[in-house]
Amino acid sequence: MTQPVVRIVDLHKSFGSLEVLKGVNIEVQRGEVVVILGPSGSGKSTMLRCVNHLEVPTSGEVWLQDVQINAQGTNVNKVREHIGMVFQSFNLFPHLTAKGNVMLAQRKVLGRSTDEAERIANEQLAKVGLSDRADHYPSQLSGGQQQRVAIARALAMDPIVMLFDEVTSALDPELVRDVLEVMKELARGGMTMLVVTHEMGFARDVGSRVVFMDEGVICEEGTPGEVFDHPKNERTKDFLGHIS
Amino acid sequence: MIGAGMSDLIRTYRRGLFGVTFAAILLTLTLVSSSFAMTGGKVTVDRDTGGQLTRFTFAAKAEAGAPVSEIDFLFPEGFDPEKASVRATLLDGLKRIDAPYLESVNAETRVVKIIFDPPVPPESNLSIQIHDVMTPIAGGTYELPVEYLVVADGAAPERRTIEGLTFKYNTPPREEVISRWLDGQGWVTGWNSVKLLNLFLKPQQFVRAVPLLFAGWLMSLALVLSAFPLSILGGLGTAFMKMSKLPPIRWLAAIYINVIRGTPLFLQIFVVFIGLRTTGLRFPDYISAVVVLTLNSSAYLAEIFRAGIQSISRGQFEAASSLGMTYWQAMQYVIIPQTVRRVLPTMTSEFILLFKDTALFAAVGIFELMLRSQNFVARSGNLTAYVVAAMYYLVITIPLINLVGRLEIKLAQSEHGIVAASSTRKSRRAAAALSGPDFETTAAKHESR
Repeated sequence: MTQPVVRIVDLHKSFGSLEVLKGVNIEVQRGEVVVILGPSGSGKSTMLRCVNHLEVPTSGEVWLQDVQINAQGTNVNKVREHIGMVFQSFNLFPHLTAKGNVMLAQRKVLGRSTDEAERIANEQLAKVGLSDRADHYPSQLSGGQQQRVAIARALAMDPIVMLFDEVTSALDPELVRDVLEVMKELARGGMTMLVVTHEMGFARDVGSRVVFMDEGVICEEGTPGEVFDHPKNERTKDFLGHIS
Repeated sequence: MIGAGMSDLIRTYRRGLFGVTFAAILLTLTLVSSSFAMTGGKVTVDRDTGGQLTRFTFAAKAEAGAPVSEIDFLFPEGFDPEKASVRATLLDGLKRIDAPYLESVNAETRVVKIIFDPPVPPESNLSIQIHDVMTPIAGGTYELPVEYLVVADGAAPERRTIEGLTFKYNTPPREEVISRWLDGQGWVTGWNSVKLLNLFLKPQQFVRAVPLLFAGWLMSLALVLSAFPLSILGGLGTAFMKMSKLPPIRWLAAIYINVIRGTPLFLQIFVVFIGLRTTGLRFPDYISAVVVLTLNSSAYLAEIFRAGIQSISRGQFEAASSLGMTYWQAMQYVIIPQTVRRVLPTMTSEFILLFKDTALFAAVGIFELMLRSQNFVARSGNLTAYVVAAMYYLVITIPLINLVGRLEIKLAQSEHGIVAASSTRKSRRAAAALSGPDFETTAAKHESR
């Protein structure tokens, strides 16, 4: 087996006295789409945010390829360049146009020239189907469009892995499809992805592996077929029963 | 004898040639002038600007053996003695002598003639006042030729002239001319007969106060325009200190902000001005004033900036971080640009407050708008200067108050996609309501200062 892209070892995270993650272990291989399911408060978002150090783990190890992110002396910003993240609330920069959003970090972090950054921004916006919205400000875009700009912004950095944190939860149902379509396309292109979502259809169709979390631990993991059709864990059964 | 002595001197002290020649000329002049009947002639005027009725005073001494029977004042062109009246006084030493005289004024030739009957006794001091001579507006040095008749015993009267008697005054400033013109206008008299209008809006005082207070207005503006940019830097620095990870730095910023915001600016002014003087450090008042204003405003701006920065959603910072930006990159390219738009209305309000606060420097003798208007009122006993000062403040503040309103609407539109109508009260309230709870509370607190 080759070196995993992301490796999480015995990850613990507490907020004060509240222990949110109680020893999580995950390995993500190149090209894998790992879908993380679980009820609210199960710690799946916190786990995802630990991967790019937006949350600092209480204990355990988080590795991106051969770099331990939560080790002393690691330049976290340098590691984050290689991890794309898309948020539930889009978090586009409201003072910049769609293109400006995609260009900013390319220029300031990667040091690309304005011309190059613009060329790549146009490419990425075309990929998410928003070439005609490049000069619009976020406030002039629908939620689905904003989320696709956010995906383009992350992709423009040429990430090794993409993290999706409930990216469709804040969207109106009719806008969800466009975003999922972009994500599916991305998965087909071989992008390594960690996806926290409630979209069971997406998990079943696109996920190469499904991880079910509850109360800060992984209860069950396997292929979509195994987890959805033959869940072994009681809590998984219960959760899936409620959903469908 | 004297000539021979001088020749000796000249021969002996060749170097002193010019000095000695000068002395000789002076001596000769003194000898010659003593033969005139009047000496020490002098003309003075009681006004220092032209274009108004003026009193001329002529003083001279009648010499021995030459009684004076008539004195003519030949006013130059442009002067109008038509309304003039004369008062002549004769003194023998300190004793006043009764001296009957006749006066006549020829408006066409501009001659004021005074005939003494009997003639002025020799060696008496003569003082003649000519009242109400209209002077031309243009200032300068004028000559007033004076002719007089000497009646020696038995001989025919001899006419003599005194030349080189000069007086001078300045051209009045334009506001002075307008003010005098207003004095003669019927509607102005009517206006001023209303007690309140006369007290607060007297036209004559108004035209005088406007140019006089202008310098004060410039001073107030200069103070605030110097202090405000410095305050922006100071405020930003303090805001970041207040958000620092290191507790001592945070505490330092908090103490500074609380002390400044918790004490009156008036007190801070006295502390800096009197404090600095007592410690022997003597800065120009202007520098001290800018220092106090900057210290004061930095604390307020720090809170405005901090609230503004913290009102930007955490997600913005996380998004920037997730793209690999450092803390300062995120601040510079993502957080601060958004903060600027958000704090612009509150910052403008702070500028308005600071501009008005420059009035407090009147108490320490800086000649800004307030002190100038106070002085003007004290001198004129009329409150019009306060109204003029108010207008000078409003010229700056009203447009800015308007700007704050428009900025707030624009902000609400850009952040929430609201298409608001023009500056209606409703949309303005909507703008205020949408600016975020934390931020708005601080801003509101600030307004109530």
